[in-house]
Amino acid sequence: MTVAGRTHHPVWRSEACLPCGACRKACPAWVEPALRGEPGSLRGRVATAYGFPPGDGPLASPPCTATCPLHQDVAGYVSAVASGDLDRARAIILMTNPLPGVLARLCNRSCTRTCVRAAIDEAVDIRGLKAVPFEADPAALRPARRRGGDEVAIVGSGPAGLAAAATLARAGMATLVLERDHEPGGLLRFAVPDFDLPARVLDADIARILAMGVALETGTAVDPSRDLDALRSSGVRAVILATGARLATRPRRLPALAGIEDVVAFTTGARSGRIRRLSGPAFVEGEGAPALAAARTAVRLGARPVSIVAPRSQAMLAWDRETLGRALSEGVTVIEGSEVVSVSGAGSLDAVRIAASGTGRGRSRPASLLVLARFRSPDLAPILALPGTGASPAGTLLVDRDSMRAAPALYAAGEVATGARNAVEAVASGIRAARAVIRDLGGER
Amino acid sequence: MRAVRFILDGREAGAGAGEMLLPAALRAGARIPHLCHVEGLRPYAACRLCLVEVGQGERTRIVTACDYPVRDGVRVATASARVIALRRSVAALHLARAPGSPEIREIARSLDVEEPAGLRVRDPAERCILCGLCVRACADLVGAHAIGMAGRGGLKRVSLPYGEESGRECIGCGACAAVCPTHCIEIAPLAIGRLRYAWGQDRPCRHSLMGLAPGTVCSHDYDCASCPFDHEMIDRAGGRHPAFLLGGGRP
Repeated sequence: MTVAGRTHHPVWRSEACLPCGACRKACPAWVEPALRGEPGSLRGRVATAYGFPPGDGPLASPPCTATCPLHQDVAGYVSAVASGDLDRARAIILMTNPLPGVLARLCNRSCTRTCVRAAIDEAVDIRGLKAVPFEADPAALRPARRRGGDEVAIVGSGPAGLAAAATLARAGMATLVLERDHEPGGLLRFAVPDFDLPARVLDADIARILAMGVALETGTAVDPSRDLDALRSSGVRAVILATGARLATRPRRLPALAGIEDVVAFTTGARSGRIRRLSGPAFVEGEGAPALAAARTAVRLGARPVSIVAPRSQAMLAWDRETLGRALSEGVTVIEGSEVVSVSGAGSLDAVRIAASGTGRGRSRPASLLVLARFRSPDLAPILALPGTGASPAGTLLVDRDSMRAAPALYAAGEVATGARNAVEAVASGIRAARAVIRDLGGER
Repeated sequence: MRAVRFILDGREAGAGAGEMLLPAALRAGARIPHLCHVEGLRPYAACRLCLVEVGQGERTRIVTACDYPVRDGVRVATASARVIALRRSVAALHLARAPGSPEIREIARSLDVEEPAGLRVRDPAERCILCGLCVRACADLVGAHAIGMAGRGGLKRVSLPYGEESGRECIGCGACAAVCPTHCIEIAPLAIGRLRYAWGQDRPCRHSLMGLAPGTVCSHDYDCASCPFDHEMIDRAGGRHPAFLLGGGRP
């Protein structure tokens, strides 16, 4: 953008526009694309005359914000961190992101992927900068007042459940989170290894949400097919299911041998102390973050060598480069375009047969551990007993794609509806389900 | 399953009741060139390359194997002199229509057809053979009905409604590109971003719009090749486009 002529009107050069949105932020007249429909006001006339600011499609906001599932004001908090105003940075981040500590470590950062700064030197470490203001002060909000009985119950306290709870609490709704385990956090606490997400970071994020007035009941298992009526008769008007996707599923059945673990059971076992020491060669079949986490856990427990068997050729291209780099430097090897076709052993695992994907024969390698991290699905059996619910062809709970509603007064968020995906998407779907609940139960308060 | 027995090039083979000849013959090991057949989509018999001779003695006829339901005891010749001669004419026609396609040139070469012998080449860069796979995938698999055939004869082409550049019905799932035998459809990531914005939900993932996993959001800047969830869905679909998981028709 340049200023031209004696009257100094803005000139927009579309070929040079990135579009970072800085012009729009700086404009004192708040010239928004919508203002072009405001012919009576000066702002509207400016917007119409100059077609300014450029673009009103998906790129009306900078790409980091536009591609973020949470639409975080990246430019806002990055500049606040840069200027040292950490209070403001915290406030901006918490507007859209209820779990900043968690996502500063686990998000798959479409922001950095699309950062316009990369055209100049290198992309900003947007995700990492989010952690800075919260390292300085975990920022517990002032405790909010809770009114009366619980209006909304959330089943599950993983990222989706926590995000939904935070969104509802901010709208002033009395929210109860029910967690089956004895501590909140779901997979974030029990399956994501400590080296990826330290417990203190998760605790700080959860403490902040609980301080907003969210009630939490741990050690309470909910069977949706049985317990929802009791919840409703106690005054709960909407239920959000955020029970996650813990089941390991596999295209080919393997015999049950000691030494074959599904990824959630393995990483959970490593955290809880059920699995303390490993020895001998370990294989992890799968892709991306879960496979890397399992492989790095196996290395730490003493397995040598540790290999990831990835079914797709060139699978590594899609993995988070930083985490992959750490795994490789820790000695993990990756066998791309291959799958485990059979296993052998008497009672416990002795060998796995690995073949190029889709070919079958392959060759046998000694193994004392095989972690299955290829597919992860929700356990829908207790939910599908409810009238009006259904399963999608991908094995997830069928929901309305805008409101995340699965049946009247029943919503779903996170992996139970979306399948195994990144934490940022679980948070996004939790927020979306909570917003739909707020809308359906009678608007913002 | 093998309810029907038939004779394939002198050897006995089996097929399911009502099954078409092409998949049964391919399963039995026959080599029949084909472009417009994809398992899971209804037969269309557009490319004509899969033609074979069926019948016995003097009473034989030429049929396209992809839409010929196998009948009990039928004799099939996949490479008789008559079949080969016809197949070469078909290949020459394809070569005249889509000389820009490496796949077409390869098939022609394998049938010793070097040139479109006397046929007029309209566009030397053309790659589309009008086999209709993209249209069938869009309509029957995904249920989107975003593209169709427009025009007739030499002007026939795959098109959005009214020849528009971007359609309201397209969800950017890429099933059309995945089934195209000559790889002439490309999906531009930015275009996907633009057109998916028309669908209300914020940054919907293609699996959400296909109805495979409704409510999912993209966190990969619509770069499906780099998305582990997308990999998993392709894996679940046995390496094919995830739309095949739908089993025909969106829920």
